[in-house]
Amino acid sequence: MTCAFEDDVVARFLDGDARDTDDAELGDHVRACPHCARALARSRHLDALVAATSGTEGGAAADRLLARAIAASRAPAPREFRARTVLLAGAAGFLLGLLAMRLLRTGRAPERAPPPPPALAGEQPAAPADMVLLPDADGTARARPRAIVAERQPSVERCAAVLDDPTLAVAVTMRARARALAAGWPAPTATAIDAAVAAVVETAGRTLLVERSAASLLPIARGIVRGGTAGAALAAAARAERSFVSRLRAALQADCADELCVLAARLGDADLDRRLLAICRRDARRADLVARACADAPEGVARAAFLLDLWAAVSRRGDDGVAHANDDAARARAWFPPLPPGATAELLHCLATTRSAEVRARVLLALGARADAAALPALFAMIEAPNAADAALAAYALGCYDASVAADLEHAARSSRRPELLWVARAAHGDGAIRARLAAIGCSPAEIDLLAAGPLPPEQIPAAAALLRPRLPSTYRP
Amino acid sequence: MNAARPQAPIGPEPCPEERAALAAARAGEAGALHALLRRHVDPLLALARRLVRDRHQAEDLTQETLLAACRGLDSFRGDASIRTWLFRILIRLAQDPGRWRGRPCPASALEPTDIPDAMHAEPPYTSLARELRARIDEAMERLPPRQRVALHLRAVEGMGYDAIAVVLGGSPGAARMTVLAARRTIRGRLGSYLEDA
Repeated sequence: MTCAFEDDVVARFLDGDARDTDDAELGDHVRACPHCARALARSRHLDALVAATSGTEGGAAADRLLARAIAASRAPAPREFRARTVLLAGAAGFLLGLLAMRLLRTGRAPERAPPPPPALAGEQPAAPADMVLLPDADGTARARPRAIVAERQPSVERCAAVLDDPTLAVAVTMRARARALAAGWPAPTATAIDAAVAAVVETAGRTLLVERSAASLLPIARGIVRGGTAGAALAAAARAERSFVSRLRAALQADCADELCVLAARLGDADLDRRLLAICRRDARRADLVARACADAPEGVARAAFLLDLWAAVSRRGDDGVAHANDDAARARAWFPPLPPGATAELLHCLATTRSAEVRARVLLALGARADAAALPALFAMIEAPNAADAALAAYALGCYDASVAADLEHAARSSRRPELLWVARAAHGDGAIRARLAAIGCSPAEIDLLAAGPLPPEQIPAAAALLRPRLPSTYRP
Repeated sequence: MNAARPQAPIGPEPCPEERAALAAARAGEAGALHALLRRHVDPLLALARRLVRDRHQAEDLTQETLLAACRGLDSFRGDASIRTWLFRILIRLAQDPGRWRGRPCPASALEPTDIPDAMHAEPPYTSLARELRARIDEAMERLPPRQRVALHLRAVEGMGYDAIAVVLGGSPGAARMTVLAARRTIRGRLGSYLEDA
């Protein structure tokens, strides 16, 4: 249902387009028409949100842009005859090149011969015209038939077999050939190729980082995903190279290679993260892949908060009710324990700042999955929280810790306003002492087996607490 | 119902201080050009990011706009405000398909949303806040460019319809209809989010 005055109301009251004579009449209408009042409020809120999301870094970036622009505007303008000068210089260079080639062909080559290969210094065996000197793996120079040089050329196929990557193999080939030529060898040996393979994973990868071709993305991704020292160095270089990050983001599509998603997850860039969320919303299978990659992100790169976002993104795919809770607990156990230690602090920060009950629930499940001692104070505090659902999930999380927290649980239960939840968490340890205490307060063997069989599923915590509450000794009742 | 009037929107005419700063910059006074343009850089950057969506391209576009403004300062007649003039330059430069849209930045449903990493008065770091920002940016990106610019100028810059009309070309009435259409479209796409707030 709409109101014919809606546009007028929004324009006049929100945009200051009112004529005073109409103001009173229109104001009366707004008070009487809930539709217009709602449209006005929503438009006002929308404008505020749009304005809030339009902030820029400003400051240094703005000063830098302006300084560059002013400096460039004061530089002398390009001269008209520049193109003609370049053409003339090119033509002159071409003519000089032709002259030099003609001189070489007539035998008046440079008098100084190229330096001998370093490995041959002292030996200087004369190589017949149909032979060529090549070093063996031990560096000894041997005369080989020129025909085999073709076999010893660093073929792309050989490099590809080592690197499992055709594009990177091309880079290796070029590098190895350049090194051989610089050393005076007609061609590199297989040993030289193998040595170049190790070096080029890092160095050629860095070169590929600033290439503009989309084909260079996958080799870099594989180089980083392969790991090792070279992979870590490549990852650091990739993270610092903004043009690479932009190209990677453009290449991240629903049908892109898994390696690109893994690489993007490891880099921890906010723009890439948004793209990953969009991809995982469409293809939940990728979420587990991305979550596993987050475990390999370097320390200090915030991944726990991103995983919470990812969790929210894939949880909106039609899950519901009890099945949803079970899936969530399983997801927490799969995603969060491998994260580095700093992830606990991130989760606690989210727990302290979020206003969303769903996010709090996920954080509590994640903290339980990690069972990190650093989170214990927050979990004990959450037991006393006004929100009963949060307290139940905190009890679940505490139940996931090992028996080293048993004494803390029992001590806290004596002064807690929800001792039954701490008893449920304590019961999850399943040791003989807690079984005896459960029996002492009147729990049946079947109930004891249920409570002491490990952490209960999150949705069963309130029922278990309700079972224990009336049976607790009076010293536990707040 | 609180239907209080907003502050007067920014008009298209230059203010006296701006005219004085412009005259000083044209006279070549040291620092005058910087002082004249500095307060417009952030708004330019914000609009550029709405238009080209990539942070680095937005900075390039802003820098080219500033460069064009520095070089063309003498030809600026002063009929409009500096900011209106700068926005016009930026929009004209952004329409060059070979420069910005031709880059590997395909417009698809998966198009990334460029949200500033550090915002003024940023809400606490929460998933919901981030999601809401992402949804707003996504909805803005899906608007036709003209509507996107018009709503940005109205909601972010607080420009009046006559000033928006100068930037976009056309009449103030057409600018008003463009802003209303943009609001209606985004309200439709963000319905539940606006309800919840």
